[in-house]
Amino acid sequence: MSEGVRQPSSGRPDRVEVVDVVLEDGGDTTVRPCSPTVKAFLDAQRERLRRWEERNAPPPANGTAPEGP
Amino acid sequence: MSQRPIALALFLCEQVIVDEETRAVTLVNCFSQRRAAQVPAAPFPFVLVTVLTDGSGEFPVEVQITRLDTDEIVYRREARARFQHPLQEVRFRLRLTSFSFPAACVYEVLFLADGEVVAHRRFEITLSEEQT
Repeated sequence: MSEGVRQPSSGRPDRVEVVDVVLEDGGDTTVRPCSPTVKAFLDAQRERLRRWEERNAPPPANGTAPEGP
Repeated sequence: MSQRPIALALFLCEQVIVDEETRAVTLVNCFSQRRAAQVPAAPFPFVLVTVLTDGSGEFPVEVQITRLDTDEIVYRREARARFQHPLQEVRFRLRLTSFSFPAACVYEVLFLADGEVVAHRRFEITLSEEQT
């Protein structure tokens, strides 16, 4: 594993400076449940997708519009 | 006072080329799906790239790869990122060469700063057709 950080040439706040953080391999591959924060994030994302699918569902065959907002 | 950064982008790609003179970055073969002959998938090298900005202070940052069929973390990597001022861009690159995806499913790749999700993208491992 190697890790390198390229520091900027100056700290002047009036220009964009780029810092590279480079990591190679390593890390933890232990399988574990995701944290409550990430779980809440994933569930919220699923709910957004579910609502989008509801809004964009094809109309029923008889031509009546689906109920709901 | 510290300020959590925002992410400008998050990509998975096969290769990153950095121009020695200008430090400009070229991402090669960005992808969001890979086919595997079997699972666990044979490791294939790829690079996770994210660009952070609008932060100040030093933060723990973390890459997590989560299976969306079980909500289990299958990979995590921690590091620290330091922002000297909000205009600074931190280009974070993580090259993985030996990680094996354990199942054919959709994964969420998350990048967290100070414990909060600042970037994410979905990524799918599918089995090659002859295996399905």
